[in-house]
Amino acid sequence: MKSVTKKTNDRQITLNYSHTRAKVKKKYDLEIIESLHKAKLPRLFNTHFKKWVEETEFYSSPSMIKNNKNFLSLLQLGKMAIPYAIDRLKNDATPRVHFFILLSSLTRANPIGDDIRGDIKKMKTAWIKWAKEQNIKGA
Amino acid sequence: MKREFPNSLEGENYKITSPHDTLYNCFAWALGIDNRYIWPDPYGNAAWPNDPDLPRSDTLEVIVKFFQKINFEVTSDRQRHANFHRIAIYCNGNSPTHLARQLPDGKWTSKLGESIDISHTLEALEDGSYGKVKVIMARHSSKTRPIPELHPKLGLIIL
Repeated sequence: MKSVTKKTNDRQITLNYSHTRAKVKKKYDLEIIESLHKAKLPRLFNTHFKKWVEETEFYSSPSMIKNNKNFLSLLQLGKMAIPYAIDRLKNDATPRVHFFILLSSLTRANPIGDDIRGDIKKMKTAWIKWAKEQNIKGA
Repeated sequence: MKREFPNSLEGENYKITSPHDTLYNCFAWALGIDNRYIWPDPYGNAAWPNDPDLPRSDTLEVIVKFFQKINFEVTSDRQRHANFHRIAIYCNGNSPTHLARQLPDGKWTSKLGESIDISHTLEALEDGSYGKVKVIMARHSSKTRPIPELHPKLGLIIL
């Protein structure tokens, strides 16, 4: 009876250990991936954003502006791209509808009230205020 | 320009009339407005009337209905006639891509997305990113009326 209990306990300990190890390994891998991703992020963000604007600057339809491979690449950067988008919005001399299309897609937020839709300057102010409230600092 | 609009030839069928400006787009410019981004934008970034007849759906039908509300009618005539206002809607298939407004001299004026303003022939912007002119609408100048109220409000705009 004693030996059966010991065996069960040993098995449980082994299982727990391998489970924890797998967890640790996964976390470690994720950290490496995230740090690599973070290091490349500013360059990737700037490249895709610039190309996206260049390739869609003649379009008025937001559906056409969204239908671009660089926009999809920006979305793939995920939430880590939000501070870069905010920083660019703050500092870009020419606020443009691209920022609002990107930010609303990345954040799922909508700080634009009915009273300011289509007013690019006021929309810029509203998104910067939103970022401040969310404690998102420009990168 | 050439990459997006293969028919365009500067000095021949189009001329730049004002520099790059990101604050308004072709729809606004077709209405003579230069400080709003107007489109039946389903994502809610553009100004658009809060009118159940005009849903935020970027279809040709909705844009035609918008202009019908201010007394424009669909026509097949591309020529200019005195005392008529005229707008052209470009489409890729049935998807609206661009709007232009006719000038008194018979040429057309367009704001190209968030880029420049040009005066041009209709053909100059065809067969590229904007597709073809699908619908032309006209209205006699005696039938002007205020545009549907936009959100945000612009005050009384009579086109």
